[in-house]
Amino acid sequence: MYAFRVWRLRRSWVPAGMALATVLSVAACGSSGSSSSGSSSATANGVTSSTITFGQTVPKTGPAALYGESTAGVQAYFDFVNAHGGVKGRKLKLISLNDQYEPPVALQDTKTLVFTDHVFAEVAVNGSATTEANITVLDPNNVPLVGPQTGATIFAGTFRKNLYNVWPAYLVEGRLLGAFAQQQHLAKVGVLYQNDDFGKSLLQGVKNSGLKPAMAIPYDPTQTDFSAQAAQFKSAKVNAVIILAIPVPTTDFLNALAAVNFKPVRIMSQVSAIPQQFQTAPQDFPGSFSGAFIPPLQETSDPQVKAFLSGMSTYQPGKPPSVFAAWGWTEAQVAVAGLKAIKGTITRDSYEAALNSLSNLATLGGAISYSSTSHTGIKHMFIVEAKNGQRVRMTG
Amino acid sequence: MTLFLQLVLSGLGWGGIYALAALGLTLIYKTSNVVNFANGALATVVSMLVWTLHTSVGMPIALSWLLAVAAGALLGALTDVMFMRRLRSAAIIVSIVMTLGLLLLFEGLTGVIWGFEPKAVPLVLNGPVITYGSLAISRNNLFIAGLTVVLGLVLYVFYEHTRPGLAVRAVAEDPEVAMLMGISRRRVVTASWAAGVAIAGAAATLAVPASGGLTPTFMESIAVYAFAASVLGGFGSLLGAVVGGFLIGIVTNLVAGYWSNNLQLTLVFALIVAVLYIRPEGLFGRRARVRV
Repeated sequence: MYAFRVWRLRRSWVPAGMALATVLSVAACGSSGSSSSGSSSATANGVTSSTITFGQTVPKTGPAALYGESTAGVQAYFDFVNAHGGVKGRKLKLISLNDQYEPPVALQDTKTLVFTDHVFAEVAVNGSATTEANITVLDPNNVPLVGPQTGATIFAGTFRKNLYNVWPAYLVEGRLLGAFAQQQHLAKVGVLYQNDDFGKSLLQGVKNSGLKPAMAIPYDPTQTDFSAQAAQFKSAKVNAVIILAIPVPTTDFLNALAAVNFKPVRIMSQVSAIPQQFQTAPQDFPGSFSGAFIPPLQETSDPQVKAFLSGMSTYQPGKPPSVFAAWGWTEAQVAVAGLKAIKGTITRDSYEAALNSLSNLATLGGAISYSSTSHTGIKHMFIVEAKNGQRVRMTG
Repeated sequence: MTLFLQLVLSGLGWGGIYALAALGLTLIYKTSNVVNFANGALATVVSMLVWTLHTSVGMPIALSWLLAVAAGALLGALTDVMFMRRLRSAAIIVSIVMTLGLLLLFEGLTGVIWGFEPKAVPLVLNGPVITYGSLAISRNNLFIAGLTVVLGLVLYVFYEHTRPGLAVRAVAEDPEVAMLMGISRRRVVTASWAAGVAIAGAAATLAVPASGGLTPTFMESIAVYAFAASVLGGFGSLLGAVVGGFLIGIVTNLVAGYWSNNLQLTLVFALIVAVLYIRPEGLFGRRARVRV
């Protein structure tokens, strides 16, 4: 009888064990969306005689999963460079990990990249709070970070020796959005903003433009129900809402506005105004505008756009040549330009010195110049209008 | 006053979704005593099937919805047979941990099969928003609220006034006595899993058009509110699940509209703590009695 019970108990654990094993294997697949294999051959600083390894943390799941498409842009540019001989005789490798847009996961990912994979530098790390988590590991270990996908004041407004901004500062973008709202003579403007450095920096920029929002409502990035906020803006009778949010909450909010039959003008941050996202949002809104530094991707007469689209179709076929991928491509352009400018041995110090020497570097997203005292990103932004799933340039 | 009424009206849509998801949890809990933390992930699979049938196969949305919900019932039954049935004799905590494992398993598999990019699922009921003065409610939200009430009533009649419903209640009350009376506990529990996942799947599919697109993890926060609705209404009570869901939908809206957006979840759980302190069995749950 005892043996029977033990057998029964063991049998009862078989499916549990199977489930656990499957979960662990699936979790392992999900967390390591690396475009390249690990860096078993990398030295302590990620440089061997044949490779230079970069790391990236980016959300591939969760409310900001679309940003994960930037990995394809980085990889496409690296593949393009590798196909043309690499840099200083070495091929570029990318290890990209899923941080789920969660700072604690980003922190763990960064430790893995720095201490296990021994990456040379990080590139195209996504998010404000997640980048903050990254730099707690990168700073003390002098690991360069090129192109954090954020314009938060904590990065864009503060000089950090080993952090090289590519994105325009959110203060710049916020000011552009606020100024645009005033140019449109919108009497009463509300603001919905994400309650972190990302949203607060943009909101400060909006206020710096001189615009006085009628109301500014914060939200949590994991929030799904925006019906209360829609009702509040409707009740306040605002003419326009400036939406400083990531893509999924933006769509949730737009759907909530539609559900209460309220259609103000929408002015969005470039991080949320994504054509793919509009497919899951109401289509019958009037004006929908956003800031941008990546040119509209239908402007194929622009040689940078042409090179990006060609690179994506050649080296990442099947992956969408989206704005997100364009972010990654732009940041990879800067990272590689720095490598090419190194004089002598490839070390992190010589890389930082080379990056500091970049002047008026032409990239897909605009010109970049660094110095030993300034790591400011792209300075020029413009307004685009969303029309038929595309971004159409409104200002120069 | 207009803002108040609009916040209440808007709360009916999401409240209905929370209530439907809570009904799914309740159906499973009633017969198995297991809180199924995987219900949201299983429901997401149903929504993914709706998306596949509608977008890839080209079926009309209503037919896709019905077929996927039926498939959801099959998925729920299979989940019980394959994973849960063998744990019946083990401690409840083992079954609960299993549902947590299944949550990660199904979320991961859904991502592997369908990808992580948001997918659009159209409204089941489309059309212009219904307005009355400056108040407005979408047809979809009205449909969700109506469906929830009707489904709650149907389930109530089934459980209280039919012989199969009596069998389910017998299993819930005392499985051993029910078995002595010739009622198959296995079948009743498996049927409850089927119904629980199907209803949660319907809730998930109704939630997709109101949210930022269908992703493998999009039900996570909804599942939290559904769990809260079940606790508030009284775990195991169908009426409690429906009332709890609507209450949470409306209260969160009022909190966000009049107080602070960031305090929605905090105050919901404060409300639950207060209710449980006064009535541990929840608003409509039955007080447990131990006879010696």
